[in-house]
Amino acid sequence: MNRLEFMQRLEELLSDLSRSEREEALQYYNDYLNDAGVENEQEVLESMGTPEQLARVIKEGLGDSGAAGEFTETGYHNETYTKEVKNEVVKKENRRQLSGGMIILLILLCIAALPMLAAMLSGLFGAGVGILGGLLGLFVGTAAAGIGLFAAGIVLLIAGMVKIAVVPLAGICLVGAGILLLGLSLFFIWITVWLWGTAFPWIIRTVVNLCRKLLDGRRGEKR
Amino acid sequence: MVFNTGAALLDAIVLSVVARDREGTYGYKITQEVRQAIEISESTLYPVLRRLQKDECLEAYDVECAGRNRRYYKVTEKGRIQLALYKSEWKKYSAKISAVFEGGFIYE
Repeated sequence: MNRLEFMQRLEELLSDLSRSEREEALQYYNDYLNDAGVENEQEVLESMGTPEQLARVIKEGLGDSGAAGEFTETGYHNETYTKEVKNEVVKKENRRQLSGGMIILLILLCIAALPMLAAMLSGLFGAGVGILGGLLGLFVGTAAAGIGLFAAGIVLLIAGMVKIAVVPLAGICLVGAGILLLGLSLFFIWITVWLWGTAFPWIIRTVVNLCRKLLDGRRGEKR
Repeated sequence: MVFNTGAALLDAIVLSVVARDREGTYGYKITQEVRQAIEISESTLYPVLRRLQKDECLEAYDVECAGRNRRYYKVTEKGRIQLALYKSEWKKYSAKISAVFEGGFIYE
């Protein structure tokens, strides 16, 4: 809201005051904005609040001036204030009651759907455990394969080296087989590292996100 | 600020600020000077000035300045008496409070 709009709105809001009183107030705030300078204008306007708030400040100030007629006016103003406040309280209570009914309804619905929900949940739980077990098996399996192949490769390599001196051909075959197994074991170890380091955290993150989304969705429905 | 400023104290501060300028002063300047002592919003002072004006402690007059009229305020004789009362009351009040704080005797 710029200065012109602000002052026009203020003038409208003060229209129930006497003309001299209104002009007095408008001149004061016009002077004030002029003296604050164009560069501070917006800041000053913001600190004055809305035109409605400012009009209230001006009118309340008039009520304190001691003239008997204006005291009654203040009384009237105060009454409207309390009335407004009371209305708000009533509205809030209404809203609360409504949401209370909604909650009871939701609880009843939940109780009615409990057997079905239990079946579904146990099914989901079983499936989850199964998948998790399978994945765990895969992870442990690859790790075991990697370690086993590595150990076998080393054993064959050593056996081959010992054999080379006695039976060179068989020795070379054993060394070759050992190196092949070592290569395979390195491959499995690489897969294991990838599974544990990258795939496993990714799966967990996805599952957690999925659960969170489901929960959020349910919360949204309640509202 | 921790302590509230009551209407009487605000009146006293405003009167004192206006009284400093023999030639009179205007709303924006009064607000800035009052703000050196207490925190008030830009809109607070108008009702106070208006009330003091109605109580005949201040008089308002227009001075032409840069092609427009600016409203000036000046303390009246009644305002000076009121300010003197406020000042003496404040002296007693603050002395008593300070005495309690510092644990000394209260001198009447």
